[in-house]
Amino acid sequence: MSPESTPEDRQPDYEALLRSPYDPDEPADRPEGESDLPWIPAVIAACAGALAVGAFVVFAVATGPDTAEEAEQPPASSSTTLAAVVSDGPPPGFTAVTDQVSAAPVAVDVSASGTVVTVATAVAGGVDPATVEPLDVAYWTLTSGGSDTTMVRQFTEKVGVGNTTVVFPPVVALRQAAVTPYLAIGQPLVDTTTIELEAEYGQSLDPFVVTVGDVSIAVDELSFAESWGWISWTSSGGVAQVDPTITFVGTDDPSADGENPTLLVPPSRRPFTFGTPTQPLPTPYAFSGSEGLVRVGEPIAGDNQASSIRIDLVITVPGDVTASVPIALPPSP
Amino acid sequence: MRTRSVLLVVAAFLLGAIAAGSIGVRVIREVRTDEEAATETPGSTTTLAAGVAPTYQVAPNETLIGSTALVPTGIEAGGTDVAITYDLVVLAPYSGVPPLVTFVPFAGPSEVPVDEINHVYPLRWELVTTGGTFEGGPANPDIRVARFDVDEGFSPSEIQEVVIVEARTPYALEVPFALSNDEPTFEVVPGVDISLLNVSDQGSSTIVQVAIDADDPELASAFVSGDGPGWRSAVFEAEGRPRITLTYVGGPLPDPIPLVAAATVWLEVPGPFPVSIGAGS
Repeated sequence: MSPESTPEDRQPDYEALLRSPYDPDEPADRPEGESDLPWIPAVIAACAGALAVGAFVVFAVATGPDTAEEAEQPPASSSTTLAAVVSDGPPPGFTAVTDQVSAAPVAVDVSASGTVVTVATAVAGGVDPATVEPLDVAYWTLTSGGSDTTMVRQFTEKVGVGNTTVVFPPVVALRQAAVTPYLAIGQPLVDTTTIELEAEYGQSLDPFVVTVGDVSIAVDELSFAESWGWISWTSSGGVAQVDPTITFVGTDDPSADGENPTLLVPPSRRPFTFGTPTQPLPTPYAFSGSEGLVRVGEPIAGDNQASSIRIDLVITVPGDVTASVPIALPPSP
Repeated sequence: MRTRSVLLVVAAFLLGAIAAGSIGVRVIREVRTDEEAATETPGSTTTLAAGVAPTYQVAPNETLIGSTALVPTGIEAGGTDVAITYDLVVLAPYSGVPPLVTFVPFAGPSEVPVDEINHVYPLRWELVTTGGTFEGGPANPDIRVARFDVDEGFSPSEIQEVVIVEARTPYALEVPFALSNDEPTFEVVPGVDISLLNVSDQGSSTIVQVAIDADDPELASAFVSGDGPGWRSAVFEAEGRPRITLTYVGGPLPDPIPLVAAATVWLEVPGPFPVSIGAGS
């Protein structure tokens, strides 16, 4: 011992003294270069940890919520998706015109020759269209830029119902535009004017006026022969429907039962024949009209001759007219 | 020494668990995403504000075009062909409207009920799939099947969206016009020309033949009559031929010849219109 040593230094190494040669982990017992850390247990421990978590992952995937049930559940958001129900109102985009029928513009064409608006109609959801009559529109007005203009004519779809085409005078462009249907309501007024003529084919009547209610219908031209007819008219004070029939009294179709005189009628009342299209719908209300009349029945020839000629002019005007709600149009492109 | 061993074992366990856990989270996310994609139905969900149920006019999976509801009824896929069948349900009121009388070859006149008349023509469709977009549609307005040519091996599960990109609705119009030798052709409506073919003097009458030339007869058609007194009813020359014969018996034929066309035009309805081919409500 040196004179500088501490009292602890002078203590004997009891641990060394008490160490048994059989004790393990003696650095002197390992081959040189080998680590003293327990790697094998560490590896085993790492695998055990991975296995434990892996088992949990498998368990979570296998026992997660049923995907079919999950698809029917409301999405995880602040809103709720409910089952769809039958609407009790008009379809989207349609404006209620009456308590049963709504309307919407489906096409608008603006050109130098006129503004043409096509309007579709529909019943409310859940209502059988076969139980509801189409709109009976006396006339339409077009409002654009604060100005109103009345229709020139309206056309119903010749092969069915649904779309009405309304022709207005030309406008430069549509600004905050809308069309308003003026509905014919109440019982219409119907007047039949009968004119008896001599049995002379090829006649042209002088212009005459028929007044029905507040509407005056001026028949500008009414001419006919044995195989054709023509009528043109204008109205003032309202709209009208004009339906003429020219009967060649005394004529008949011997091949048909009953009395079947030769007639001249509008094409809409002609029975279907090959080569001619059908026009099952009558002409709608208008401020004026003109059309050719076509022959129905046996031709005037041989023994089939008229003893006299009768013209029946059936004129219908609305009992009353009321403005419905405006139907907004899309702006001009 | 033993303390170091214990600490080493614990650390190894935790490292193994963390490594496995990070992989496991990715696995769980991918599995959930695949399951959600497999259960999605194209275009069938509408989410509204809480408490407001979506409504329909005819069927929950309807597509409204004008006054007609298009309701898909089925989808079939085979080879390179996909067919989507549908109904067209009229919403327009038609009580009291007579049926349309049409001519059936070799059968004669036939009545078509109003609710079976075409009011909408869904002309052009797009089938949006994971493998691309395919165009298709019905062959004509009377067909209620939209067909698509797709790639071999196509499966309906690849459909992401079905959209009608062009739909048309008919409207009627009368157009007065005149023809002459100097101006023998007139466009009565876009896509429909009327041309003067022949004028034949028969003594007490004059026969006028005109032709109707439509770019697409499915989208526009017309019938021509004489305009004014002296014209007998006009007739199609023969079934299927777009020629009309008019007879004038009112004396010398006017020049130019006054005529009137009754046209039906299929106007385009602004869309597009999504179609639901999933299950109804």
